[in-house]
Amino acid sequence: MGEKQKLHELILYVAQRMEQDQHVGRGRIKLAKLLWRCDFAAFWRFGQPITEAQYQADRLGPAPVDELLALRDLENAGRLELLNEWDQQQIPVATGEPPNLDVFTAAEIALVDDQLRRYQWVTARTMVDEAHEFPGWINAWRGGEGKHSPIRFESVFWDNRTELEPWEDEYAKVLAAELGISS
Amino acid sequence: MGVAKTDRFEKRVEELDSDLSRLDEAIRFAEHQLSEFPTAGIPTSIPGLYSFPIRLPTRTGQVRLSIFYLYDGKDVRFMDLRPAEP
Repeated sequence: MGEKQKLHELILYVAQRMEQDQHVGRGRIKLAKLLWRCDFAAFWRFGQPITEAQYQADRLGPAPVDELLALRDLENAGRLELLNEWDQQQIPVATGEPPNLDVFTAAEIALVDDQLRRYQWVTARTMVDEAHEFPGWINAWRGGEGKHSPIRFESVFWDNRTELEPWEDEYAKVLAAELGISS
Repeated sequence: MGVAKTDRFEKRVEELDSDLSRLDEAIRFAEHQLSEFPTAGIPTSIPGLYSFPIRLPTRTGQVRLSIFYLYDGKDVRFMDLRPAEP
């Protein structure tokens, strides 16, 4: 399988399904958020992402590093068009040779379909807002200082909260007493 | 910055590891994060003692745990690992 082939085919499949299912806000931003959702959900569930893409901290949340390049490759191959809408949002539309789903396992396709259903009526804006709550992005972005920093797949293991739960502080006191840590 | 682990922490990992196949991955991630950003955890009321909350997939959903670590301004030491209380 060629380098980035799975990213290419996933982009085409997601673009095709967003159009077929008439997704709300089916532009490039939503495409990037869906790719992130699919790859990180796959890492959580299967232990590895679907595509070969690496992700970085972008202003609008996690984004595949090679997304723009992949879109250009697909455009040059006549398999994708980016249509300019009235609001200047670019709509990716799959054209020509359809996505090759043979590069994916059945479980991967089921996971992608699940994400597509889940976000069908969710706007790109809302997906961006959700992405801004993802701890992997928050820590990589660091208020803009970490622009384009890599986001590790393992950040799915980070529990998304900023406040202690009551049991944690109680246990911290027990631990401090047992280990002779002064309070 | 390196991250040290106490014997107590290592023992907890051994106890939990057989049930949680991806615990090692999550701990390596926590080590990586805290070696770069030692205060990325949540401070407890004990000065220098933090909780770094993690979650892991299980067959039926997920399990949540907290890594308790000490940061004295210089070094990070993983002290204990404990499943979240319901």
